Amino acid sequence: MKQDEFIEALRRELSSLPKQAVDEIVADYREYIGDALAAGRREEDLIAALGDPVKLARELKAQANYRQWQSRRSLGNLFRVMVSIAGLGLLNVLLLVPFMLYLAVLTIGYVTFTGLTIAGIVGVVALSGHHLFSTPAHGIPSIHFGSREHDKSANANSVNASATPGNDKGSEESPGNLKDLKIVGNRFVFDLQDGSRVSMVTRAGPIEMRREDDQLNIETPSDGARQLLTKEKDGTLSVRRDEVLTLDVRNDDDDRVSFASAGPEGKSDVWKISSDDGDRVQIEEDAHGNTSSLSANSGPDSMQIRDGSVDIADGRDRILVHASGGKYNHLVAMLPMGVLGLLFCVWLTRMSWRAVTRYVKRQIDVVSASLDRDPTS
Amino acid sequence: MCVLAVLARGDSYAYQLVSTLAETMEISEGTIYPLMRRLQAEAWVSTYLVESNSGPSRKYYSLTGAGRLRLLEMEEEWRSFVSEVNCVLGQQGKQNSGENP
Repeated sequence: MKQDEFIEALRRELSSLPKQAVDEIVADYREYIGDALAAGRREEDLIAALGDPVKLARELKAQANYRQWQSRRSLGNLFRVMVSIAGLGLLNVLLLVPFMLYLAVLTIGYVTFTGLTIAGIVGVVALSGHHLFSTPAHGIPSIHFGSREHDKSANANSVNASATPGNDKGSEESPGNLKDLKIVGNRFVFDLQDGSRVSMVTRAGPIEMRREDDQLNIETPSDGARQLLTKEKDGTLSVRRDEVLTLDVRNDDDDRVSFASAGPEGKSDVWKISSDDGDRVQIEEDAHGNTSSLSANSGPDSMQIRDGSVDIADGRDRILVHASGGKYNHLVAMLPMGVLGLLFCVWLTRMSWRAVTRYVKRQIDVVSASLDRDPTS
Repeated sequence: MCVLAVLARGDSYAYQLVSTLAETMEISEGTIYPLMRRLQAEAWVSTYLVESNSGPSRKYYSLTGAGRLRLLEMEEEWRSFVSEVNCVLGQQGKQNSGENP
């Protein structure tokens, strides 16, 4: 081989490098060849001693790529280094296949956990919104129904009484603004005012009570029903709550509280509280005493809570929140999972990046060592 | 390392380097440039051009401060490596002689 052929082959193999670098390398070899020839060596021997230009070019390229990668550690540069190392036969190309697979799995991990994190954030936002709109027990007193002051407090009271089950057991509550009816423990206590009327249906039969001119009239067709009524020491009357099927109390202002047991064994209750100016509150309780639905109306304003949805309207505007707590709880659970997974992925990436960096560095060192020592290359 | 050691004696150019090295050890002439480029990249050697009266200018290599330090480190490593290997070889000799009296 003549020196021109050698230079030409070298130039061809190095064509992927920047032209300046190629020129420099070529100039170096030309200088070397010139020196060697000046020292009196035969051209053929010299070129043979220089070695295979293709192999030399590969080594030069691997080094150049590695240097490029060191100055800018991008995945593309890393890939170029690995390919050029693979070209030297030092890195088995088959090794790249599991590495690629691993990269793919890592990518999938990133996508999955990013998705989980986003879903979790959405869940947290949604759940906080859900909490904002769907806790009637604390929210009600601050909601203004636009009705008279005593009606409002009455509504608030009644809602509190039934929205927090257990409150109405043992403590003394008055549903509605009627002074005539109280709930003490599991009994209804009647303290009828002038002009008030109570009509109820018990398991033993109907009872009508009214107070007029300080005179209490009790009418009932059955003695059994009359016996259910217990006279208390302070002159009030009481009846066991679970004996009452329906109850309707109204005063002379036309404020009204009605109660009806419904469902199997009368376990679920419906309360309706209304005042003369059209304000209405309706509460349904399920068998466990939990409020299953709540609606309040005052003129054009209305609010409904039912099956996890909240509907607030004032005649013109309407807010409707529909939510399922369980679903959001799942979403919220995704947030820590997603964040943990992402952290894990980042950690894994760092570790593998470090490992690859070290591996490539070692490979390059092997290349250099082969230049240093291997006399046959 | 050997190239650094040769350069420590004084600045030189590629052909001279190879010739010096070839006196004592076998070396592939072609790989001198990949090697020099690497040493240059590590900033262990620097280059300068000297106009020659015959033909193109010649590229001289000279050892930098960092290169000198690195050479000392390498010598140290090499010596400890050699002594370790010698130790192992010596021990093995003893064990062998112990097993086969």
